[in-house]
Amino acid sequence: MTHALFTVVGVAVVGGGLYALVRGPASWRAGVAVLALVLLVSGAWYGLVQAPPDREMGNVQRIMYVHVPAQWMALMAVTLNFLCSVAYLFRPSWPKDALAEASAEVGLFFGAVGLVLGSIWGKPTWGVYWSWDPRLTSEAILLVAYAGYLALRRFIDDAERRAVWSAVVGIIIAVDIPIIWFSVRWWRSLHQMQSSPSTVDPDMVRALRWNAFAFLALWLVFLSTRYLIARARTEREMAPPPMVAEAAT
Amino acid sequence: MALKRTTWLAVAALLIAGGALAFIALGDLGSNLVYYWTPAEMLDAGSKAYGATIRLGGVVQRGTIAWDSGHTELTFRVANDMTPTAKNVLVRVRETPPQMFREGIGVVVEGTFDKSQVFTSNRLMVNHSNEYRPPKPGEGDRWKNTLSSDTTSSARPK
Amino acid sequence: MTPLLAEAGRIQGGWSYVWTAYGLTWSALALYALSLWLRRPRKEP
Repeated sequence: MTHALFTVVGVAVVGGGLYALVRGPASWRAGVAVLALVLLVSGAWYGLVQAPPDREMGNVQRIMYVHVPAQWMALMAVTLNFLCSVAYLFRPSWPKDALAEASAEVGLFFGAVGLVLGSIWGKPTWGVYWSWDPRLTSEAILLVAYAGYLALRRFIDDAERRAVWSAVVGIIIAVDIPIIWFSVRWWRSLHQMQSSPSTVDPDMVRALRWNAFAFLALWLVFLSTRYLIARARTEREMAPPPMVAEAAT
Repeated sequence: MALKRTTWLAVAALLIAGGALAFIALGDLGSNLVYYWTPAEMLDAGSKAYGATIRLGGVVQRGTIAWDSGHTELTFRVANDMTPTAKNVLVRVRETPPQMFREGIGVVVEGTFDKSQVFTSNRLMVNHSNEYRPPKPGEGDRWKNTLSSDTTSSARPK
Repeated sequence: MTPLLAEAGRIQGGWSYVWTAYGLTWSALALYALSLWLRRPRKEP
């Protein structure tokens, strides 16, 4: 019950924050960017200094504080892309399309960072940088899928066709999101199952949460900025050609 | 210019996505695409398991880790679980094991099995549990210098 | 446990992996921020 309440409040705060950053003045985005920087620097202190090493892994376990937040942000972004894609097809509007584009790129960015960090963490712990286990494979598929999604958006010149077909693709590739999440439960894998506060030392949980908030602040700044870039593009495309505009004046 | 509504596309895409997810989640994909075999499964397969490059996953049996005299070849037994009677397979590896390698920890080895009942591997991977704890008082940097079986990690054969 | 086994060659994870990971994270974040800055919408002249 409290869990559900927490989720609802969290989604509302993140959604409201994103809305405010998109609609508000540039100074708000700058403010959140500064906040993100402060959180990131202090998060690095929590992760690198304050948190204890792990008794099995030693200091390499500290990679968790950047790997896990990066992957969370990636999954949040691609989930948002799915929601925008569905919403667009039912009730089309340019902001939905722009947010879909922004979330796909931000998701791809965080996913790629998370994958590389996981690979670095894998070498000393698993013994290998890479193995085709279900979690790693489904994550790789996600990155390829969203890279393809963004390529598709570049190839379609007509703005409305681009919006419609990328929404269709956005819905279909979103199948991979639950697969990534559940891969470690459904199938045998090298990657361990999700941790929870009960399986992680409180000091480590604090460091992880702190860094997750730092990444969330960055996520909001990146997403809102990228959204405005996408909006500006469609607005340019929708504007009447210069000749007509001149004739009208 | 108003944007066209394309509800049918949304419905079609959602149906495709939902169907694909249901197929993957509820289908029998797991048994056809296993990441690793357990020792019991591999031994049950008998001669069918010989020769092909496969992955074997389980836990390192207590008291079975040994290096050869030149310290280049490592042998140990991979068992289904930590019970002394669990089915197990002798594994021979020439790879450098990762730091967490020790008795009782979950491992996945890649290589081939043959008539001699030895699994020859060229890729040794250790799998970690989802637990993260600081060293207990007095343990120091235990991750640097122990191969004892007091571990919080284990494989999860399903 | 014999010292021989304890010293047995194992891949040692250490701070180098941690610094690589954090360094890569910070550079990637900075580069992406830069790319957003370069692509910022500008008013037509």
